Amino acid sequence: MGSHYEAPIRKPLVTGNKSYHQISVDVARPIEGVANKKWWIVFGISLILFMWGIGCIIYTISTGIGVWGLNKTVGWAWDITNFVWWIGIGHAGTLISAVLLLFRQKWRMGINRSAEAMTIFSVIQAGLFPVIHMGRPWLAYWIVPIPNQFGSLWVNFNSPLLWDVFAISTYLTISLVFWWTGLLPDFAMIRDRAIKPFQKKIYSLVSFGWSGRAKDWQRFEEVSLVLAGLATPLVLSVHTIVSFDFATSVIPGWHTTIFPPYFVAGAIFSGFAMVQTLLIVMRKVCDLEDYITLQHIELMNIVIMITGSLVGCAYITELFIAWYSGVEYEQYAFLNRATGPYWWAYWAMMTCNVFSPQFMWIKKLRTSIVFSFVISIVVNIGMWFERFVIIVTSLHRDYLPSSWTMFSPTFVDIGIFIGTIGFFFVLFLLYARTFPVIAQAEVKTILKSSGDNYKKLRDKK
Amino acid sequence: MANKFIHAVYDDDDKLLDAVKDLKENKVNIEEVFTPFPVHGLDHVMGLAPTRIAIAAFLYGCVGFTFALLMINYIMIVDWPQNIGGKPSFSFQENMPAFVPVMFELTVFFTGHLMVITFYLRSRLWPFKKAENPIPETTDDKFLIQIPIYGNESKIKSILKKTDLFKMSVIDTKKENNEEIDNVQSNVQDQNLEITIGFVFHSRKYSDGSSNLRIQFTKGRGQQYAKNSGLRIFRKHWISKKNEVSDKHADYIKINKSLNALKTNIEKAKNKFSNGSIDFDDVYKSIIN
Repeated sequence: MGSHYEAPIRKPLVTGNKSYHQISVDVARPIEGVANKKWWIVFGISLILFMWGIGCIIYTISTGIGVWGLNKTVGWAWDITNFVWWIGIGHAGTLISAVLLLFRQKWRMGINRSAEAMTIFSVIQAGLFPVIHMGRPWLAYWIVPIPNQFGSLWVNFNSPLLWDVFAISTYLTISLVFWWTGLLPDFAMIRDRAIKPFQKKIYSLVSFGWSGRAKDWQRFEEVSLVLAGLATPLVLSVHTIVSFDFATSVIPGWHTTIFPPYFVAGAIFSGFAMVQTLLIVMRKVCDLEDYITLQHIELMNIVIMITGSLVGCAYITELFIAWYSGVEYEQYAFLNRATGPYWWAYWAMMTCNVFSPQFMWIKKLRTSIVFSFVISIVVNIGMWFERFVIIVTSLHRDYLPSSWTMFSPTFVDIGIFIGTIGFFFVLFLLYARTFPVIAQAEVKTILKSSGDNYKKLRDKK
Repeated sequence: MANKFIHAVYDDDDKLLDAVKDLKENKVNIEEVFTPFPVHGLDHVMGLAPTRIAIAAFLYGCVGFTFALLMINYIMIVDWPQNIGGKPSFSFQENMPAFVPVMFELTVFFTGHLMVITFYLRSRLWPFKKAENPIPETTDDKFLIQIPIYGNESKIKSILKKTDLFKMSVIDTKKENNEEIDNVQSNVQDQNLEITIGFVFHSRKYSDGSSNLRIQFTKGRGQQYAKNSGLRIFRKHWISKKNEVSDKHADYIKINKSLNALKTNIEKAKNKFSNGSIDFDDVYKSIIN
C-alpha cells in the first residue's frame, strides 16, 4: 500500500467506508432509479420558463430588436450582460477539470463531471445571446470565414467580436470532447450494469465500446493531461477575449488594461459560485454526500473567497487608475457608477462580490452548508450586476449630455434571460438523471489514498 | 492467434500489479489487461511502450497554427486589405498582433480535436462499437488478465494459483464448455449438470415500494446470473415458501397465473439443460422470451 500514501493531515475525500463496487452502485443509483416528485416539479418549472424564453425569442426575431429596452445611447444591455454572465459561469468547469488536474488536486475528482456539464450548458446559453442579437439568426453562418457570393467579402480578423467567435466555439467544442472522453469509462460502467435492454443499448452507444484495456487507459491519461494543458490557456484566453470586446473600445469605463485578468478572476468567481449552488443541492438529492464532502465545499469556498478578493482588488484599482489618469471622462464614468442614477446596481455588486465572500475567512461559516449556499446565490446575483454595471453605466451617459438616458428592460429582455435559466436547468436536470454525475473511474483511483477507510487503516499502523 | 485463453480475475489493483509482475518474471505473454480505472504503473509493469499521442498532438498544433497563419494572411492581406482605423493593412508582420487571438484559438482547436480523434481511432472507440471486455465486472471492480495459451497451460496455472487470485477461467474459442476455477477450490470443479433456478427480488425499489422480480440461475459454485422476470411485485406480499403472492397483493390472481407459467417453463428448461441441449448461459432464453 506504499504507493497509496497520503499525508494524514489531508482530510478524506471519499467517506462512508466505500469499496470500488460501492462507488459504482452509488454513481449508478440516480440513473437506475426512478425520478421522484420533486424532480418532476423542478423540471416542470424549468420547462415552463424555457418555453416562455422561446416565446420571447420568437417575438424578438419576428418583430425585431426594437422589442428590447435598447435605445440609441444604450445599444448593448441585458443581452450582453447575460452573455458575459453565462460565459463567466462556464469557466469553473474547465478550471476544475484542467487547472486542478495540472496541479494534481485530488478534490477535483468528486466535482469535475458536474462542473464540466455546467460549463457546456452555460456556454450554450451564452451563445444564444449574440445569435439572437444578430437580428437574423438564420444568417449566423456569416460569422464564419467562408468563401461567398459577395466577392471578396470576408470577416474582420482585427475585430474582438470575431475573436470571440473563434474563442467560444473552440471553448465549447474542446470542453465537450474533454467531458465526453472522461465520460466513456463511466458510461461503460453503467452499460455493463444495465438490465433493461433499452438502457443497455443507449449506454453501449454513448460509451463508444469502451473496454478498459491497459493501453486505452495509458492513452486516456495522456489525452486528459494534454487536453488539460490546452484547456488551461484556453480558459484564460476565452474570458480575456470576452473582456477585449469592451477593452479595445474607446468608451470610458471599458477602455482599461486591467480588464483581462479582472474578467478571468470574475469568471472563476461566478463559476465556482454556480458549481457550489448546483452541487449543494445535487449531493443531497442524489445521495452523494460521501463523494462531495464538506471538505469539497470548504475548498470551493476558499476559491470563492480568493477570487472575490481579486475582483474586489480590481474594482478598487479601476477607481484609483481613473483618478490617477487625470482624464475627466474616465473620472466621471467611475463617479457616475458609484453615485449616479445606477448607484444601487454598483453597491449591490460591491456588497455581493466584495464584502460577502469575506465571511469565508471564518472557518465556522465556510463549513456551514446553508451559509455556503446562501453566499453562492448572492455571488451569482452580484456577478450579474457587475456585468450590468460595466455595460450600462458606461454607456448611458456618454460624451454628449443631450443624449444621456436610462435603460430599462422590457418584458422580452427579462423573458429571454429567464428562459435561458430555464433551459440551463432543463439540461442540468436531464443530465443529473441520465449521466454518471461523479467521475467514478477517477474517484476509484484516489480511493486508496483519500478514502476514509483506507486512511484510518494507515493511521492505526 | 491462440484459440485458448486463461482469464485471471482479481478484485484489487495491487493484487493485479503483483500478479502481472509475477507473470512477467516468468516470461508469460500477457495479451491484455482490463481494468475499471487507470491503475498507476500498470503500463510500466506490463512493458507497454509509452504512448506517442502527445507527439501527434504537437504536430496537429503545428498544422493548426500554419492553417491559421495562411488563412488570415490570405483573407486580410492578400485578397482584400482594408483600412481599419488607420492600422497597417498591407503587411502581415505589422498587422500580426491583432491576429494572435485567432491563431491561438485555431492551434488549440486543431490540437484538441485531432488528438481526441486519433485517440478514438487508435483505441477503436466510436458509436455502435461493441465493447470487448470479457466480463462486464471489469468496468466495475474486477481486474482481468487475458493470457493466450500455447501449450503451456499448466505452467501458467501454477503461477497464477500462487497469486492472490479472485477467479480463473479457461476460455476456448473452439469449445463450448469453458472450465472455470474458483480460488476457494482451485482443484477441478465437479462437472455436475445440476442447476438451481429460483426467484429473487431486485435490490432497488420503485418509488411506490414495489420491486422487480428476477429469476436467478446458479450452476455449481462459480456461475450465477439473474434476469428480470418482467413482473413487478410488492415484496411484503410475497410468500417465499410457495413462490407466489398472497391474496393481499393487487391483481394477485393474474400475477400467480404468470408465476405458474414461469414455473412450468423453469422445469422444462432444467430438463433441457440436463439433456445438454442448451448452455447454462442460454437457460433463461427458454423461460423468458
